[in-house]
Amino acid sequence: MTHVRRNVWELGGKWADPILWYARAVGAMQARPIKDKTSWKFYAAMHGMYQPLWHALGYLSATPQLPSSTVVKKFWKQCQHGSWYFLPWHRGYLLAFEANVRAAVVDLGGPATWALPYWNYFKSGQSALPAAFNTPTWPDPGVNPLYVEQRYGPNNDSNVHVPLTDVDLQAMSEPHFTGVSTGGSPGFGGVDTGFSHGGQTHGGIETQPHDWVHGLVGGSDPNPPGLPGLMSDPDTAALDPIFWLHHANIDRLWASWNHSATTHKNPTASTWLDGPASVGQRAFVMPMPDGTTWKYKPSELVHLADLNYKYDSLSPAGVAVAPAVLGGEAVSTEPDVELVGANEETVTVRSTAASQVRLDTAMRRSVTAGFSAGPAADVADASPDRVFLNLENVRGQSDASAFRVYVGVPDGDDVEAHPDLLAGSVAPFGLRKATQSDGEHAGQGLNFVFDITRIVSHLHAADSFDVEHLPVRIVPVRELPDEQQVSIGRISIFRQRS
Amino acid sequence: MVRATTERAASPEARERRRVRTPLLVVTGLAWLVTATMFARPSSSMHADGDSMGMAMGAPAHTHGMSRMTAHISAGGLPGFLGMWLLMLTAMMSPVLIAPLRHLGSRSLPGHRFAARAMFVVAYAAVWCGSGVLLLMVADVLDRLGAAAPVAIGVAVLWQFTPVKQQCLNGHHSRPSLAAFGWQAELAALRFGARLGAWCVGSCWTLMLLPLVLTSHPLAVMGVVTLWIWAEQLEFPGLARWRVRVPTRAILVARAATTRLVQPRRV
Repeated sequence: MTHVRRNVWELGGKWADPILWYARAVGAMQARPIKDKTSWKFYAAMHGMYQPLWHALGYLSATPQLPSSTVVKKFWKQCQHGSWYFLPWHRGYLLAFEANVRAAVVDLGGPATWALPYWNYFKSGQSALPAAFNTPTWPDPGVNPLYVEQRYGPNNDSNVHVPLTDVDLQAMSEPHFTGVSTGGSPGFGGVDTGFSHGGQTHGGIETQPHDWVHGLVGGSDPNPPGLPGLMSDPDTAALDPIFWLHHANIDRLWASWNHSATTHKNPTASTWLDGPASVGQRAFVMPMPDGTTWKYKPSELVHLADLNYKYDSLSPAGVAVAPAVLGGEAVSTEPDVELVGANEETVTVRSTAASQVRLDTAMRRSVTAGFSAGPAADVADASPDRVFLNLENVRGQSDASAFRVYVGVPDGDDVEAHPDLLAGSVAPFGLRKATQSDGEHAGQGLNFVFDITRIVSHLHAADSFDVEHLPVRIVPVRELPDEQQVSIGRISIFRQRS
Repeated sequence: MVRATTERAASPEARERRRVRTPLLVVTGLAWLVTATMFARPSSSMHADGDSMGMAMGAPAHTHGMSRMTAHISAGGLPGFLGMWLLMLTAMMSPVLIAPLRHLGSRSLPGHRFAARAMFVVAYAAVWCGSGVLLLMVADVLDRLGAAAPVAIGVAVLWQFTPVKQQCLNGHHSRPSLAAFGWQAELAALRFGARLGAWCVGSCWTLMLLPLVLTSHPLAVMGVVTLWIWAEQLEFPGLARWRVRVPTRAILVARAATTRLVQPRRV
């Protein structure tokens, strides 16, 4: 049987059957103890677990009865981030979760056809949190299992929605699945890594919209000590029932990217196809409702038809659009990536911060040689070079420290007057973990990469790129308290030639 | 369930890694070849039959029993010791530098890449050379006390359990932000090399002491120590606390590599 994942906003009402059964099954899973591998908390801990934060948020008692250390080592802290395994690991995670929810639905007397809905915040009129998640009451007695108090929204006022000004679908235009960590494009799906529970460089679709929706929905508690919302931190995100609908949408966007152009191919390297277990690292494993453990690898997850599910629509924004890239060779070629310039100091981000990226004269000229003096849109197509802004070694104590980055805004000008110079937005999902010196990357922080080819083309056309120093402005979405200690180790510009 | 795949292309990242790794592995192999050749020469003062790596590094057999430092200064001199020490470092540590050298290459301006890497290696080697002289002095003291081997092995085992060892292993994974221009770029590379060298010395000093004091089969000792150091590089950073620390990931990696070699290729 092929299960169909449908748009949550189009199920036929706030408490349409699929969402009501989801709520009931979530309630059943939440009632199971954390030692039960099919419990809500066990599944959340497979994504990530940081006991102090779970304690602080009230999801773990002072003396919790945890599973054995063998079980914990095998199943918990598996989520793949900053990695080309991001998409396939989460696809398997969703499938296993969906199977467990479906089993609970059937146990409760619901339909065996139940499938996980997705939340397409890009579709017109659907950027608000689906109504069933927003109220403590529901048709059944007791508290709505889909309701989460620690969901603060983009303005930390519990008005949860996804402002479309902060999210985009640029990643859908990325020609290659696999990118590089050397300053160029991180690709649509991420960078070649081993098992990566918290990688440094997030892929295109992971950065936007994935990370941003996490940060916008979760936000942080406006009251001291300003704990993050569940969705803001990878170690608590999967405790929130909306997490799964968000990831169903990300999974749908992967299918959509594959579908949108014949050149949009998944990796063919055996290390991706066979997963990290094939090189002696942890395997991807999920507990199933029948008590078995499903061990999977990416090669088993690339065709939805083989997995017996599909989406009711593969249109990224919910409206018919032309494929982003057609024709041409998009099989992963080796890009030539070179540093063009960098700033000279660490930038601390509290309120708006400014820095200057010093450009190497020879490298700048070689970049601008690709751009003619004609209209920017035309010349961007003519140039083989792509230009990327890198924020390197971004560190901080809160994943809810979102900020926007502008390039080329003249000193003294208001960034609001230059929306065309917005390089990108950062919702640093995983920042706290990446800052821990005993973490997977020894406290190196995260790297963020933005394609600024269009901006550089415009600046060049306006004679604003042929300068010694290029201004960069960091604008926090909300003022960042000192204790969040957000800093950017280096701001740099790279060019990439394929 | 799995559809046939007709192509097995390495990722761009894998190819870039290979570009840095291949020459370093060639250098490593050559360094081992030279080292093994020196030990294999029966007439050489660097013989393998009679004494420790300390003796092999220029101290003639008749000086055994003297202060090692004195023996080395008088027989081969400090330059002789440092030459052999650098050869050892090249053989043992070159693969450890693959990731930092990639970092330096990718984060430097094209015109500065060579200089940045050179500065890094110079600083790294300088830290190890200074530490090498200190280790030789320690070996000398242990030798005078007459219990060099058991003490060195005991210290190496004990150090393996300490939180400081883990801190040093964690530090080895650090990849700092680098200045891009002028002398600041070279200084940043120097600082990176010195800092990484310090983390490396911190995690490996007890291991590097072993070839200096163990009196038989120094080449084999050096080989075992090298494999241990390489294996430790495969471990993730972790909490700095007292615990038994054995780099087991390497076994899993080796087993997986063997499996991949013997199993039929995906077509």
